[in-house]
Amino acid sequence: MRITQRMMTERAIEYMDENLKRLYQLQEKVSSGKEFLRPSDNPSGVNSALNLRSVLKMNNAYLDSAATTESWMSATDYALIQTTQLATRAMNLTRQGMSDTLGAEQRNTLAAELDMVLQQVLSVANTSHQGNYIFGGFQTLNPPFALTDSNSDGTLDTVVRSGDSGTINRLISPNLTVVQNVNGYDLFNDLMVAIMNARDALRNNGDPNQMNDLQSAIAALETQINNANEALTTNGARQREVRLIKDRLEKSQIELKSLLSQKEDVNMTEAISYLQHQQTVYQTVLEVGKRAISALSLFDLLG
Amino acid sequence: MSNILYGLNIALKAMLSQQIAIQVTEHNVANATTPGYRRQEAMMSADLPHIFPSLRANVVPGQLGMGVVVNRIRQYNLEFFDDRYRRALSESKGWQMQADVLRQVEATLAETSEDGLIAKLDAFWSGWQALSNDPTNLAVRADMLERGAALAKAINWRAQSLVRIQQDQNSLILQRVNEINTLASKIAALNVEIVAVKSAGSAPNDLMDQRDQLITRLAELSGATAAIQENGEALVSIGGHALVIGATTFKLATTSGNLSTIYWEADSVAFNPTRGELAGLLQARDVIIPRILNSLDALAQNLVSQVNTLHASGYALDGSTTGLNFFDPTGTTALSIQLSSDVANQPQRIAAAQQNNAPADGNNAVALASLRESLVMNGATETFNQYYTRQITEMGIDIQRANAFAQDRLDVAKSLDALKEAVVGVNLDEEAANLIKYQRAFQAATRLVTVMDEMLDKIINGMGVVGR
Repeated sequence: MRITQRMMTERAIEYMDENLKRLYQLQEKVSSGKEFLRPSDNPSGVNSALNLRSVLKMNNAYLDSAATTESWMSATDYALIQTTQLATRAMNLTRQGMSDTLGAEQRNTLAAELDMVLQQVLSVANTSHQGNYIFGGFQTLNPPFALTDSNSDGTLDTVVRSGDSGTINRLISPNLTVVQNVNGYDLFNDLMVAIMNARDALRNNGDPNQMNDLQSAIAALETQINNANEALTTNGARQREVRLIKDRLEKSQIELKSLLSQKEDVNMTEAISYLQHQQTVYQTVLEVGKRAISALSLFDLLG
Repeated sequence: MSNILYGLNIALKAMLSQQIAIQVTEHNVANATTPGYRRQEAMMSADLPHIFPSLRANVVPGQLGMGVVVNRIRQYNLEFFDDRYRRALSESKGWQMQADVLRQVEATLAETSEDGLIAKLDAFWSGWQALSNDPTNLAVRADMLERGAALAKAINWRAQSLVRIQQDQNSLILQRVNEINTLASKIAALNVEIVAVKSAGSAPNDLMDQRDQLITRLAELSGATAAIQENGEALVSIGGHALVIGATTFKLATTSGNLSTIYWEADSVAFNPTRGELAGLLQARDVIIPRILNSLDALAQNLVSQVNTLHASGYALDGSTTGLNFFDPTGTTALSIQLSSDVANQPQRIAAAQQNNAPADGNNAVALASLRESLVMNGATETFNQYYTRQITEMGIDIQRANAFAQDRLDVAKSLDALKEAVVGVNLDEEAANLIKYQRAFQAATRLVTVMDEMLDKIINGMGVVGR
């Protein structure tokens, strides 16, 4: 094949371009630390990276949900433990009141103590967690329970409920919702009514039915202790479920991150050694190009 | 009988011929880097011999050489290579153009950055999720509105940028149509000159080089092909429609507007190049960008309808307002999607609750966050994210393919060009050697004149002077 000077020059420039381009690509990789910067660099790689990143973000949102749900449930757990303790105390006080040896004055003292327990139960029923009343069903903005004195005789005798029995669902995994709240609408109402009944029975000294009333008040309190315990167990089971899911989400978060890193992060050792190799190649190409372009022609040698 | 003056004439012809050859060599050296230049050579041959009668044979006793003459200036050529070269080149240019436009689109969509549309979609879904955690929190609600607005704006901005790129392509297309028409006029003018020179018996080598360059540019632009007629005229056509016949040109015209179409002025036939820069530009403007715009439109339309349907079924924070739209129901294209006036700047009117009078109910927000997993796009087979990710992947593949084809065809064109260059290119060493050859021949011819001169001197001044 006949070779012309134009061919030599053009080819030399072409090779320099080509190698400079390769050098540029490697430099881009090493300095960005990413295998690909544009969809066209690696369409399928970008596809999986985009998917992984989406899943990671959504997982984060689920984790946030799981964390807030968990803290709400902890607050519920604490409140329900207090409730069972208060209910048990109310029952014990009522039991004491059934003793034949007690006089009216002592029963009145017990009734006064029950009043205090009642106030404490009210405050537990109105527990607020981060600005939300957790036993209000959907009505979390205002205290769901109040006690009023309906006949203005100086004792609180009526429970006023402004909440509802709404079930709050939380999405903590794709298509998986858990119930976050415990329905306190009836539980606290019935408990407070039972305490009020016990208190009133204690004060009804001289009433022939007093013992019967106290007996049924104790039975009612027992039912409510059971109800509170049941709610506590349900909440505990849900708490465990949320914690498990949270653990799983955290684990998959770590896995997804390492997967994403595998997909899109550059293996630095490899990339840098390629880069160094390419630098050497480029220098050689420049050297060869220089000789090709400035090669002597016969004209230089002819006198 | 030989005539001594013939010798002088032969020397003169040799001198003139070598001079011409040296001039051609000079021309070659001078044009060693001229694009499209093909090397030339002075074709010398022995001149017609002189016939002289002899004693024994009275008709054709012998022929006496009459020196050298330059017949013509030959141009090295490989015409069949030109066609293949131009074809590969025009295909390469078409793909190259397409890749260039697509790279602009890719940069505009910026999908691999945190500013990508997928990231905005994710933020939108996470926003609903966060709202469902705390539906009574006005700050979370305001953040949700912000995320909705950011998503709508991201879609708007992408559509606007794509439309702008599309219009940029239009001006490039118009510019190239003008260039084709100008080139056609130039080729027609050269046709006239070339025919004139040829009919006068000369070889219009440099004019032909010029015309070939113009035809190559035409091929780059539109995939034009040329056929050279017997009389030297070039017949240029694009996609089977004549562009130049002899001195006549058939021009292209364009319609006005943002997406102008191209047609042949003479017969109003539509112009659809299959190769060349114009083909690439038209493909990008009329097929690829509209496809991505359509996908953005489909995304916007489905977002508006799906989100609105769910949103309208829920209740605002006041517990009684329902039937509200999240996105403006009239803005169902990528350019027009926006928050509806039902909720804009009124975060308390986001319908997070499924039940009335239930401020802590976040079930509607849960349903909206779950839209992320719903197969609503592409005939209910893909989620929003999957659909858009596929568009991005397809675009990436398109760019890769365009780049690969462009490089492929360019390699073919380059190797054909190298093969052609091997024949028609100027090799300076060769020219230097030729120069020496012709120079020495010229020197020898001048020496002949001296010899002749001495002989004549002898005859004129030395003969018949015996005894003088």
